[in-house]
Amino acid sequence: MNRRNRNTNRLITAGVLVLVAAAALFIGQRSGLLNPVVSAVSAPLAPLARLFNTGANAVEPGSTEPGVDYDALLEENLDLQRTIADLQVELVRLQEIERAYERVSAIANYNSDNLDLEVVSADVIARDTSGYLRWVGINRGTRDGIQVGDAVIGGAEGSGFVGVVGRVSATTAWVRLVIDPDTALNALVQESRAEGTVLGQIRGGLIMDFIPQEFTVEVGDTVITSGLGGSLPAGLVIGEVQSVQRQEAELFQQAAIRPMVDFDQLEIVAVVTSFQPVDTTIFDEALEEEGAEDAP
Amino acid sequence: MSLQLGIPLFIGAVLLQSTILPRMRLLGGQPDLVLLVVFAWAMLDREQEGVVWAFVGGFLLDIFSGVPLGVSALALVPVTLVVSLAEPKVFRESVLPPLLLTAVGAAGYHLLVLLLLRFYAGFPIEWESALLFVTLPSILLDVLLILPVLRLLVKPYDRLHPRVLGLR
Repeated sequence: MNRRNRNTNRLITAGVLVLVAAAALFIGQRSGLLNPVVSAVSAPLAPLARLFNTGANAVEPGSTEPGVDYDALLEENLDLQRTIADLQVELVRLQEIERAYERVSAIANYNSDNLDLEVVSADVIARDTSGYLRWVGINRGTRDGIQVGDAVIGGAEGSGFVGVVGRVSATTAWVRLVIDPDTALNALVQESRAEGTVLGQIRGGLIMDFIPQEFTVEVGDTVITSGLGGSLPAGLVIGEVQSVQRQEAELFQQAAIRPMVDFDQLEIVAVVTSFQPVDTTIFDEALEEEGAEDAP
Repeated sequence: MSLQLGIPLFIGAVLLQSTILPRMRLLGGQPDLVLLVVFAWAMLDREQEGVVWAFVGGFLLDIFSGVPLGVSALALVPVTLVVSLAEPKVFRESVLPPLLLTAVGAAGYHLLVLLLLRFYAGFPIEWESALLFVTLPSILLDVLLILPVLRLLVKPYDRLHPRVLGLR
């Protein structure tokens, strides 16, 4: 085959493959038709990914001392991490309950929906390969009751808010981390009750923006999910205030947040499966109807 | 590339890229191992296997990633086509062409991924940060690693594609 024919064949092959990829992108974005394919491929690979990830954890500095039963230590360490996580979840919950109780005496019918969280624990098995997103893959899926939109907590330090389930197949799920640039969630400074929006940054940090000027926000304050919007449980710890940018001329102040979770060391997470997000689409439909009525 | 070699090779590359390499980020970027294997094979390739493996590798990458299914394959196939158009002999005999083509190809791939993420999938992209802290370091790492990957794949390629010498 001469070079010209060879290049023509390559061009045709590439054209066909580009069309197939574009069709997959189109179909995948608009429907769940390709989910079975993703499940079929990812299900047998998930244990392998877990193995690779465990290997990566094992070669972390300081993990290879001679004469130490590393597996037993790892297991013990994971148990302790789970216990600490449970206790810190409990602590934050109790703090929130205390604050809620103070307010509930004045507000009739106060109802905190997020006090009893049912969770499914999962191992982190993979991380996003693109470099532009901050997502992690976990070894639980729809078979374990996980759904898109479920909140995920965990981290070595305890009950940190990890992110939200963004994609799910039968046996695996992908979690959009709170530090992902696509993140924008309603948050609350626990001490001052100042509300704002937490935004992920591509370099891995977090910014809390749109904090009203009248609130005093201090370094070390704890930032938690506010529950506003109804898509996430309230009271999940996002992180602590690292620095505050406040300018009198501005309407809002801004704070840099240090996430509670060390996302590079994230190994185990817990997916909150009991929380039922509020369906806000009815408002969208109502607005659309209003818009249609107003239209000439 | 035979399926017996290709499938395990790409699965291994994807698993490495999604488990171990994210822990080795340099200035925010990480090497694109699948892209490197695809490019190296396309540089050696006298047939049209490079683009086919670009498609397979891209799909596997998307399954092990947060990006929508199809994005990596859609970005990887055209840039691999460009890489594979050059004469394979060039890449075996000198150092500069693989480095240059990897830089151009990796830049094209990252740009296509960014454009698809931003304008098709609707992900918010901070262009300055993305280009400076992810794209550039990743391209640099890809350029640094292409020669070792190319060297590693020369023998398997030659074994799978023995040259037939005709008698006159």
